[in-house]
Amino acid sequence: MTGRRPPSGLGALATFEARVILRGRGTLVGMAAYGVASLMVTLLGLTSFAQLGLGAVGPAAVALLNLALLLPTVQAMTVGAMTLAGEREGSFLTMLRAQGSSARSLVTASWLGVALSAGLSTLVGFGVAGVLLATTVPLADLVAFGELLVVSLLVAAAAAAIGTLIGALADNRLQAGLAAVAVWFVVAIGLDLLLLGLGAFARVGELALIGAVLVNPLETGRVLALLALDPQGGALGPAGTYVLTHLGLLPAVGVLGAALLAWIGVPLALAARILARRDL
Amino acid sequence: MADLAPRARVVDLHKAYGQHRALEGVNFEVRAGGLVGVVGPNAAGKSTLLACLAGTATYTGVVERPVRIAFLPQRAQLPAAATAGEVLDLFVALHGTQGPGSAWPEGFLPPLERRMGQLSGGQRQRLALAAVLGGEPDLILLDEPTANLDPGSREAFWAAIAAHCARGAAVLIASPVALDVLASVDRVLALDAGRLVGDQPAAAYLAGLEMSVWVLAAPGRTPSELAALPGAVRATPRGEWVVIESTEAASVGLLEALRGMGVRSEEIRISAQAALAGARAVSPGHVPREAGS
Repeated sequence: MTGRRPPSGLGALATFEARVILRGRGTLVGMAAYGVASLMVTLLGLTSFAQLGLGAVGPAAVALLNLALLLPTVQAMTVGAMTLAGEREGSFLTMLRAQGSSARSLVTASWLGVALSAGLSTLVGFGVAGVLLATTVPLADLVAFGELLVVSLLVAAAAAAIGTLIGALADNRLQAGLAAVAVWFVVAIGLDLLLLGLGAFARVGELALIGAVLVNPLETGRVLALLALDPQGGALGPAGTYVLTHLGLLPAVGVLGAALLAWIGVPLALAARILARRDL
Repeated sequence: MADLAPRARVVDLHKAYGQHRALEGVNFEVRAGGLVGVVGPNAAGKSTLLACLAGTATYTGVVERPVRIAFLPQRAQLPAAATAGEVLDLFVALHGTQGPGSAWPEGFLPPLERRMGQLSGGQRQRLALAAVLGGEPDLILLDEPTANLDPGSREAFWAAIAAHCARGAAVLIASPVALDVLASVDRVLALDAGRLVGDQPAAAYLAGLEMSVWVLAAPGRTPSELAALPGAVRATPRGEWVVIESTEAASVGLLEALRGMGVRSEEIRISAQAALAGARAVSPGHVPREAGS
């Protein structure tokens, strides 16, 4: 009962998943929504500054960043969760797993497709804004704009990883989609509200402030991106300001960047482990 | 046939879903070239057994399996946005080799540029079969593979299975009671409530297979008269029908006797039931799935 081990086929799986996901409605809707929203906030940001006789990337970029933390992430989480759960529900994962594909390959391929989909949405939004900004702002500001784009892509990739983990845990596509939306609400709004609520009733300690940034990939990305825009941290909230003053600029950037990478790697590792141990 | 080495071995296999015991103490071995039918009523554990063999379900016990496995679960759904060509390309890449199942007669495969969501149930089933049978697996596990297939497609499917068996693959096909499956396999594993209750040559299984012959009730066709016909075990009224219980081996004589007493073909329905005690779960008034007339 031996034989040559078949190839795990990560490349073939990833190519297949990318084609299927990019063709899906989630990607098209996400790209259109973020593209239109980016166009609107960029025009508004530039117009408001132009009225003051100024030209700068700041207001438009911050609005764009907030959009990037909301729209591509909800797309990545829901598509990521529903893709893996749907393929499991339809026994497609079962066929691939029996064929010799490892759980790690299946999870990675699915994540790559979803991250590419969310990344394209992010690129479309930033691309629209970049074309408008390139005509009116200094070159140095465009470098910061590029840094924002990189951070936004990392956050989208982290959201795709979380969505993939949800997909590995869920029993079916509907459950996965609902859970993904719920988790997105928590990281997009819920954790900030919780921190505000706690601050009103109790003294929030230093570790809690740093934890509040690191435990939420959207907040981690937001603080990292704002540091790229303004290294002095003028636009940071209390938690971000604490991270900057406590750690210093470069360590803060290093810790936040590592945290974002962990938000990609850890959910994917957990998803692969879960998929390898559960009934498909 | 390449060799007679075991391709899969199952020892004291148990599987539970919560409190429900899906498989209990199942033992068997499948050798190279073996074509085995796994039969039993609904919820007997057929699909679960194949999943355990494929390694896609958790279990307790021992399952020895080869590395190269092709598994088509029941009602598998390929991603709707993928084209038929993309699905085949993916499985070709995963197989790494081209086996006898990669050559299909013209018309078996749907147009390769069509998306899965645009295909009919039969086309999707044919594509899924082509995808999993394309390589050179040592163990092939198929759950109700001929459902949705037209006669021509079934012929092509069985030809591909024969080619795989000839090169030494072991094939297990789960089916509640599909006659074409029972007529094609050379061995039958019968499951009931998670237990292996039969392991015998297909011919012996078929000869003992219980049949229900449904005859429209009419004057001169009372249950007692029908039960007295050659090949009939007993006859009971079910609404406007009379159900005559028989066996596969005796059913030919029974049908001849029915025609001899003037019963027309359209007044007869034949339902082959799994030959398991308690498997005759046909409720009163329910006309069974037609298996021929």
